[in-house]
Amino acid sequence: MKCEQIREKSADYLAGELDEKSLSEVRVHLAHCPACREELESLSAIWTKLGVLPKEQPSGSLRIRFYEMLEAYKKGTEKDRDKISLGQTLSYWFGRLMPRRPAYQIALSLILIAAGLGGGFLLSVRSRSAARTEVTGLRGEVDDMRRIVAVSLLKQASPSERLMGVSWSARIDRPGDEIIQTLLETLNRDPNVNVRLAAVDALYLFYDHPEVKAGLIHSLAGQTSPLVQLSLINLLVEIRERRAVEALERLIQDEKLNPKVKKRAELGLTQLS
Amino acid sequence: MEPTSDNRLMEEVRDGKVERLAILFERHHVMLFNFFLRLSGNRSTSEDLVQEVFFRILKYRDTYHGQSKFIVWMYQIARNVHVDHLRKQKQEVPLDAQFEEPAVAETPAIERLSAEVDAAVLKKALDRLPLRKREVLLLSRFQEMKYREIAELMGCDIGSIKSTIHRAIKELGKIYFELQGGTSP
Amino acid sequence: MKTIIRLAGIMILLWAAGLADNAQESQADHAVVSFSNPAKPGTVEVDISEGSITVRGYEGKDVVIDARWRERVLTKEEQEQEAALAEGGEELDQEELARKKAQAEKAKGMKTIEVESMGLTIEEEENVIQVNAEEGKRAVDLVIQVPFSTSLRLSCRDDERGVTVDRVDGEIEVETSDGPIVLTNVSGPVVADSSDGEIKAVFGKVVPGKPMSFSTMEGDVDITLPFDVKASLKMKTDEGKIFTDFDVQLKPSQQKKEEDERKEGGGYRVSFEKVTLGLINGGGVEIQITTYEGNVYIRKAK
Repeated sequence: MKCEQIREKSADYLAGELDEKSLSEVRVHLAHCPACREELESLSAIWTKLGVLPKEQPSGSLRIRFYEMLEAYKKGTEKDRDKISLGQTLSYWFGRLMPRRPAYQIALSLILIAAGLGGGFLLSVRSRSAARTEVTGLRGEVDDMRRIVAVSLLKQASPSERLMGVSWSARIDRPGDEIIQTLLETLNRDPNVNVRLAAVDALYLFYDHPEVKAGLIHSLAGQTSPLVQLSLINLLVEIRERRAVEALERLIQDEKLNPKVKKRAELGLTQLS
Repeated sequence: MEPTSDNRLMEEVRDGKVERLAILFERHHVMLFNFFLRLSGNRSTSEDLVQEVFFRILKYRDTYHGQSKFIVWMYQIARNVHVDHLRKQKQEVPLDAQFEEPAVAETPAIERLSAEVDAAVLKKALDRLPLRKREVLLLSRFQEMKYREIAELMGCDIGSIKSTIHRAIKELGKIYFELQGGTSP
Repeated sequence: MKTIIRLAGIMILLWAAGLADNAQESQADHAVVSFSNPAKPGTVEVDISEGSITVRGYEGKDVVIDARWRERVLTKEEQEQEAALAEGGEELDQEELARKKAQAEKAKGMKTIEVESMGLTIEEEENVIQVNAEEGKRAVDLVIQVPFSTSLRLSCRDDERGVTVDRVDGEIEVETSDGPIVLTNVSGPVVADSSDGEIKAVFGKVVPGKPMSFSTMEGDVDITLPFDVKASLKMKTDEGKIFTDFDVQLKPSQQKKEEDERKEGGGYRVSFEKVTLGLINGGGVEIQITTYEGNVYIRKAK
């Protein structure tokens, strides 16, 4: 092998792409050629050294921006329309778009207008029956996406992102057990009071889901923050959950209970009885 | 359960299951972010560029034809996004001047771990590498693309990619050792 | 790489033993901590059980921590002892007196060491700096300077001073039990809660996209936002009032989203708590405010 060929093979050598035969040919040449050896060694050194460059993490807002864009795009392709007027929808979405990217606003407004005009405008060209199943299936798919987003956000270290996760779960039309469990777990275990409060609000939307009521009653005993306790009591009273009576009685007997919460709990008892 | 391949997911996105893009996002956005970061040196610009890539993926999803690997297609878009970004920059600002990090000379005299110093100098050297060489190097060394794929994405032959790599590393080495010599940037 | 410092009434500077200033001040501590990667925004987490936390943004890359220990509050028993000793020993029998004197002597001699055992622990790992106060009876007032882009997680309990933050652009998470929370020149997102303290936040600008939340049982929540902010407010106060000088577009008080296909007879559901929903400039950043007794003030920055 000649020195020129070594040069040609160097890229593959560095990337570990040389086959057995070529590799041994290279090695043979290097054994006799100090110039090539030196060059290849110094190239290898730099190639390896590049590994010290750290892998950076983007900020949390990147993910949020992506998911908001995805949802906006998805909404634009939905055939079902919200009961809110289109004008309100547009302003709601414009309000949420990053002001720094007017290009998005224009593109998205086109999408939304197109959706209003004909719905099928943005669905890819498919056979009629396929398009129809797509439409009825759309709601499930949007839920799917929201579920992925919510679960991912609820695991984040930033409480603001977890708030976002709760907010996304609240938007799911037909929450499965996974989401309900995740919300209950957030209610019981999230270290941040604000996130737990948001979880109560979200669970209110799903109170007719079988596990929610029991979960809420159970949660009451374990809460230490008076604001969360109040919120739970209010919710249980609102949905007229008689099974909460026992939990409320036990709560009232707790000496450490905040007097305002106690007052509300007592009132709640009379309301439920 | 076998995770679905990138290609398959993108095909589903193209065919209407737009939310599948979320999975592709989760898989690739950090690498993409690092790619832009090493090209531009600016974190918030890099985030914008990542966002723009996924926006274009959505906008042009109809044009995805599954014959190229998804990743090749994505990095083609990424390079275009970067080029468009450079065009929007009014002035020709030397890339290392855009950096947020302090120049190596500004590092306090206090001792740091040698790996950290290395990384800082290497980064500086990388930024002085001409754009095309840098792109090819990043794509191969960090985004782990095969030369064949890089050739496809850049629209040239594989031989020219390999020789670009060779020259890129040589030049990078040269700049790196120059900087290590303690000359101020 | 993990870096740990213990402050113990002695001035310590991280990294450079050679630069250590050997002056000893038993009541104040000072430390300078660097992030592993100063180019990337870092996080500072502070958890003290008693004291106050003041954080200010500045142009530097490092975090500068000043700690001032408060005099230990003597227990009633200790106060009596001191009083007795001061008055002279006639009331106490000789043995008792001797013992108490010895104890006082011992305590005197040991004062410095006591300070050393009730210190702060500072750890840095991968751009997160954690500052913890060991459980002790001494309260500490911390003044911390951080780079502007730093994110904060602050937790403390105090009667009067609480937590103060000025000119910090990162994400801010704060909790206090009775102390007030005062944030100025911040851009968020902010997630704050206090059991009884008031919460005041003045935003220089608001980072879009990330939700915020403020909650307190008894205190007021007083927030100032830029006049052009796009925000969606969700405010709950059981016994207080809501004041604002923004043009807030109020939405009907509802918790449920607009589509209601699961129930027959559609329509909106009545919310279970007194919630006021409002949109500022069309809506945008979600801001949730909850207080039981306090008032809510949403002010427009001039």
